[in-house]
Amino acid sequence: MALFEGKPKESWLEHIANLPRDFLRSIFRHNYPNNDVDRSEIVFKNFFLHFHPVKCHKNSLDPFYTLGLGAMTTSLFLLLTITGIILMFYYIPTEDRAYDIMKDWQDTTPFAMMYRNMHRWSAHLMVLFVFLHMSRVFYTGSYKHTRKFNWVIGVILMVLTLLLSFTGYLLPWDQLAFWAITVGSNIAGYVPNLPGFEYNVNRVMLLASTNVGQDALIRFYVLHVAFLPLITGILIGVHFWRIRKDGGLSRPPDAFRPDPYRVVQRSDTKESFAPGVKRTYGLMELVRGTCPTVDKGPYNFVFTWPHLLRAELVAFMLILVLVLGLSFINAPLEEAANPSKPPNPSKAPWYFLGLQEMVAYNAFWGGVAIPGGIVLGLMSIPYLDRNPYGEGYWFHRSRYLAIFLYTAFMTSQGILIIVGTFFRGANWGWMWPWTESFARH
Amino acid sequence: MPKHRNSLNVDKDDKDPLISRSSFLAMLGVGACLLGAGTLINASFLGYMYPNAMKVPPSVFSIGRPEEVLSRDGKVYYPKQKVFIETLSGKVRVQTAVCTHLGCTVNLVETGYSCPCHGSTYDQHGLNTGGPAPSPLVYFLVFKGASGEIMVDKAKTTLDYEHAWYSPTV
Repeated sequence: MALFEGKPKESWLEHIANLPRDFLRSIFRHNYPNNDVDRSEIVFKNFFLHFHPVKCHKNSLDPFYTLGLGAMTTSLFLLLTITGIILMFYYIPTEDRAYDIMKDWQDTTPFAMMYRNMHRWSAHLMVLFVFLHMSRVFYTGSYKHTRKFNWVIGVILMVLTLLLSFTGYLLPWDQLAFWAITVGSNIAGYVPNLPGFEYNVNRVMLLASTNVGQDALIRFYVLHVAFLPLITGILIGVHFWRIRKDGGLSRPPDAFRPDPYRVVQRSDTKESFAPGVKRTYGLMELVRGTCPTVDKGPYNFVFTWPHLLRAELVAFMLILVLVLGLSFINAPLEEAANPSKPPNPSKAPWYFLGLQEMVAYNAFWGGVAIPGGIVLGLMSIPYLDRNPYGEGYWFHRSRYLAIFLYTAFMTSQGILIIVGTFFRGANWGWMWPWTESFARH
Repeated sequence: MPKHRNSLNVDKDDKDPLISRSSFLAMLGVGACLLGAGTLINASFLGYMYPNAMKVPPSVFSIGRPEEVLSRDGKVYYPKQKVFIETLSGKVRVQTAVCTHLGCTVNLVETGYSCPCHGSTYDQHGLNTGGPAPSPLVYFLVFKGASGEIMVDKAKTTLDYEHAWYSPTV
């Protein structure tokens, strides 16, 4: 019998007997993770898990440290992608049909309302969770040292989330959509024009025309379903990659650092490099340190499978239950777009009411300069904050000024949103929320 | 300069440049090519997103026969063109209803006009009196067209509310 790589060719009987095992092994390159080697390999060799580290620090699993906000935001992005693709099966981005299709489809198609509600409320929650996540990262000082640029990517992701929300609620082509495009494109018109263009180039880039219509709708559709999700997905990947390369989530330095203890039960060797070896190696899957930890694990690190994955699953399930619960509340759909008459008062969704309140003072300063300054200011926080302390601690005492400034800023934005939501009535006039003529959006 | 740079063993006193002349020139050339390609792509994308032929609605439109326009009195909103048509004893003038702030349609109120989106207010003549509106509501040129109908030209504007009146001969 012929030998192949030292093994005799198996008989048909053996081959068939081994086929189930071989087939499974051809799909999964690892065994069931009931031991440390396979717990490593499942994360290392599985495409869907490989953006995790094999092991992560216990601090990253503490629900009262991260609050799970990043995982929840990611869960919402996943839910939005799935429900969004489902909505795309029926939606047609035409000026004269989009609204009617939405109306008919909601009433005639099973679960249509559920998916639309999930999509709408997930979008609202995602905006909320992006801000909560940003606040968590700020208050724990997690943007410092090596994580500076990841904060910048996070701010870009925040802007992309807002743009996705904006382009999304335009698509039903109801009154909210039409007047939001009108106002949004006119704000873009306050951005200085390039010389040599007859109409303001920023406005025309959005509208493909000088007025709001079909050409604008298809542009916002493409932005919403292809362009922005693609960029957001890529940047989320970069965001995760950098967390991984920065040695996991931020955490305070371990107070107690014993010699690495043996955790991987793989080989029979007991040797390890002596502590005190000064040469460092930038090896994949090894944490920073002065000694390569062969056969030993770093203190306080646990396997991603099952600990981190279980934590992520809990975050995802919490969000799924929350969104499914909210899907019983019907997402608003206003009257069909009427280009001649805006509703009175004409209000944006809550997350833009702060912006609308600022724009109600001055279009350029409130709509272009201050929001642009806020985004640039947020991006520059890691480069302006010279305090090296506080990374990994909630509300570190040395950071009282930074914490005060950030809290004051977020509170002022919150006040603007509350004013825009509850204290503005007809013709954007001041109105107490308990008065009878209060008309809420 | 060593043939193969070893980043782990950099001699601080070594005068060797961080990058060789040929590498620097090569990167300069590649950089120039990439910059040029990027500029071309961006310029073409900008041009692609800014169409030469846009659906700009005609600036001249009719508001009807003089008899019917003059038969009513007062200020009415003409939704199709987003203008207010004001008639007063044989005179007519046409004013825009588009808020000069961010383009919402203003409403008629006792004091003049008011915008539902951001609270701009205007007086009876369309002068901006409050809120974020940067400029007054303009009046359009009114004239009698060749067909005998009363025409409005949105391209010709005036802020002079006394001279905005037009008295058509019926």
